[in-house]
Amino acid sequence: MEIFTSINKRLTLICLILGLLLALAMLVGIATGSSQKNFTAITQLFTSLTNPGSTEHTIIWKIRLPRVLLAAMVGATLSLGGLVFQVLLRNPLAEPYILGISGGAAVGAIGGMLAGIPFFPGVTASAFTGSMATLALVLVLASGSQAGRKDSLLLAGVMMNAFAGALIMFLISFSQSSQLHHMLFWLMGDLSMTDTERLPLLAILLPCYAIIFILARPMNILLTGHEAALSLGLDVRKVSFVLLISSTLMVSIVVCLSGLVGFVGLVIPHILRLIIGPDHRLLVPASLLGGAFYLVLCDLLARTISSSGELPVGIITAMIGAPLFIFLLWRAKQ
Amino acid sequence: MTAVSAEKISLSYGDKRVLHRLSFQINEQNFFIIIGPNGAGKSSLLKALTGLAQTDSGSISFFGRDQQAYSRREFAGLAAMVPQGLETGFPFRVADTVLMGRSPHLGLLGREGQKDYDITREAMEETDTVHLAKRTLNQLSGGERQRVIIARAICQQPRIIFLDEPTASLDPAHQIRIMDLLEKLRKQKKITVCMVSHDINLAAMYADRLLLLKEGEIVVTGTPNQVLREKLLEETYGCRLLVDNNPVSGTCRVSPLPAGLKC
Repeated sequence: MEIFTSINKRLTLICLILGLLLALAMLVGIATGSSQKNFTAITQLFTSLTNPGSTEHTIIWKIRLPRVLLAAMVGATLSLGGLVFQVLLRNPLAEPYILGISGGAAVGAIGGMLAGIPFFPGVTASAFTGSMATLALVLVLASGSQAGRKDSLLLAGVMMNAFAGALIMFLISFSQSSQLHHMLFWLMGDLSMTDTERLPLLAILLPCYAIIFILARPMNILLTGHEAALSLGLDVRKVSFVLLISSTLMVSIVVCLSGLVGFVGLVIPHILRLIIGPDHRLLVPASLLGGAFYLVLCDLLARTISSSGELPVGIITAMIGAPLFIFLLWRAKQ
Repeated sequence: MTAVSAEKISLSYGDKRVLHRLSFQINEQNFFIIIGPNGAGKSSLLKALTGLAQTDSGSISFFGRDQQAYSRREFAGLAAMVPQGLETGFPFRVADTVLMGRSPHLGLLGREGQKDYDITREAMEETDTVHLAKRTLNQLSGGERQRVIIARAICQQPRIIFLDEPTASLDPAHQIRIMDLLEKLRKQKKITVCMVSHDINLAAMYADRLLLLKEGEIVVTGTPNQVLREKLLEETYGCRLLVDNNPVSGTCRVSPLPAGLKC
């Protein structure tokens, strides 16, 4: 009996399927939009793509493509971030948004914006500080009682989220009215990046993905328990630290670019775990592609669902994610 | 050769003293079993030996080399630990769980090769877990799960294997099966076995040497016949006991007696 299934074969298959779905979604994302310029025929799309000077060309290259790319990267990052936190906390309900880490980053980012420091590295560093501080607080609050650890972790996260929300509103009340609408929109998860110069910032995410992918096998071992991992010779502290820093960093950057998009890191890893099992050598790439696909789709919905303009994408992800979270919590109690 | 040599090791959790100046040796290829009443510090001793708990003082050496001198990875390739259970919240398949035992030989970034698959398969054959390969850990019975964790430990290719009450909550047939398996590993693979057990009779049948622990101190260590004395056990466990010989195996047999029983 063949007892091991080839990881490479499954990995190729998963990447192929999810990559195809993502490419398709991105194509549709580029072809449709709120500006009445819908490219219904593929040929039409390609002529516009390669015809510089036309309005269609400008719309695609300057507006839609950056937006779809941003949606994909944000989705990939948040989904992977959720996956990593689920491993580190050994809790399938952990997620950057739920744990208040995104909120902490937003506080830092808004503080930085109001202080008028440059976006990079100023605002991003400030967001990173905010998210690390929140994470440290959540971990301290949730430590101690081992028995109720799962619940107290979520509770601590919810409280930090509420506190971050209050801080954000407090900070915003000081800002000038011209920034107000933009900031509120950003807070709810906004992918309509006005400043395409910030797009190169996405490049910082790539090494984070790579580090996490390299640590996929140790992540599996971490999941079998702290002591079990130690006795398999894993440097649990070092691995956890590297994972924590890289995931918090990439989430902070994403928050700076697109605000608070919640629940992606809960929905996608959960669905993928049901389909392909708990092996992170598969789950890491699958979460990246799946998360990207999911958010491109959500963004498409956000752009087209309302006839009087567009919605922040965070509203769509919360409307899908929050009920799922409640369902998972309910099922865990059964 | 001496596999493990402990010199005056002490361990405390906060203010609570758990182990106090223990010194003993485990010889290579021995079946070494630690017994003692609840709260005696048996599991803590196992944690101290496997480096999972930091001792306050004293030294432990493995095969003539200080424990501190080994890196975590080196140590994991030398000593395997079989905990009472693995976390099963994320359901890995049995084959993948056992394969994780190759980790110390792969390093942080390595990938499994054909050799690792072969070793894993062999370990599963030895523990009779091949037919469970595609199931997940939480679908197994207690005895099956214990055999899978032992298979994982074998994959580490250790020279010594530590087990924390591997027969707890198993029925007699599964208890014997686990113990026979360990005895086979000791003989065929020349692995030193060190385990904590609650079951004195089982320990008496398999152990080369016993260590009787009470309140963090060694009461006595030696062969089962030297350790399993009626008076000694009664003082240690604080109840009436009868020690005689098992008519079949000839080993010591310990039967606790009800306090109200007249003799």
